[in-house]
Amino acid sequence: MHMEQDANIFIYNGLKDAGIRFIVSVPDTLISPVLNAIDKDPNFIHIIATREEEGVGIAIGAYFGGYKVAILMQNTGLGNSLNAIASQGISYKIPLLMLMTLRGHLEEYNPADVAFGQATPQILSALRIPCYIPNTNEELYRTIIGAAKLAETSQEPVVILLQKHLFRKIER
Amino acid sequence: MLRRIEVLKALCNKIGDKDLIICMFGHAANDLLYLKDRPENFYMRGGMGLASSIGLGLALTVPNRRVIVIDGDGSILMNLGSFATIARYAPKNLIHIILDNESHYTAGDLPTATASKTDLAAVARGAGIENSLLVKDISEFDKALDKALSENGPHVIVAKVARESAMKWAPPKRLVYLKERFMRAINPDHPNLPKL
Repeated sequence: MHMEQDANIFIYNGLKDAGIRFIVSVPDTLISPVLNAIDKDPNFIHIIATREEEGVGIAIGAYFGGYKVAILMQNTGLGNSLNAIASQGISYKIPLLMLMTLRGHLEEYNPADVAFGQATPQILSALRIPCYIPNTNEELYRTIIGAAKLAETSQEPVVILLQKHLFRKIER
Repeated sequence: MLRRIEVLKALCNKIGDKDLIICMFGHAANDLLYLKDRPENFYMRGGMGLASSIGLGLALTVPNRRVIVIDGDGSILMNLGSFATIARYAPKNLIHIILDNESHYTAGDLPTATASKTDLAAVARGAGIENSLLVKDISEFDKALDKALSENGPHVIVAKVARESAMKWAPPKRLVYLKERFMRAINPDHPNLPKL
């Protein structure tokens, strides 16, 4: 698999090795290489949703259908999907692995993304959704494998927030 | 004008034993529970607007089973993007039935946009779902449903129904029970559930 040697390849390998074969996404620039790769890979079903809330619904349907599922989005999409995550994901005990690029933190350039970005960890904590923020790409890979297992065990949503620095190309 | 109960009765009489139903929360779920409760029915108790999305994810992952979504006008108006996504991924086994009473009836009977201008069957067609019909009496509904049950989907049937209260039944509040009963109806050895 040819891909940028940044978080993208670690996300691809993590999802694959965790046995996840159904991915719903609302695209984001940082994760576009892994989404493009998944979109072309016959090992995955990849559905691009119009909105994150819709994506949560699609992922729940695929979980009913027997797949292990993950949702990839920007953390702004968490705001668009909170009620679906709470009223369906948590309440019906659905193991949703959610990977979100983290906007509104270090190096942010868009003032519109700061408020929700800064509030994101506390919003997740208010809903008692486990949230992990890996600092290196090796840690990211292990976190994806571990979070998929945790979601399966707890039968509840688990979030991994993807910091911007993980997407810097590794110098060789 | 159709009655919701006669639409659901016709549906229950025509579908196969293995067909899966995703039903929105509200009066329609109460009617369905009264008419024909079965493990193959999944009842939502929230998540307004998401029935068709859950149906899409399910239809794509169990292509050998028919998936029928029971939705409302107020619900689908919250998630019109769902028509576009369904059209794009086009599962052949998905039938999306919208009971259009032109009202947020379950939420206090305020009119929805279909009471004035919006034609949901035309919206679905515009989004790319070619098999999309608006029906106004029971013979039209029967015909549309027969077509949907015999030809490849996705299908949308928008049935104009009266604003009527349902029986005083409601889906159980044990949500995990509702989920697990449904999943075991899909697969008794469901890989996403612990062994019994």
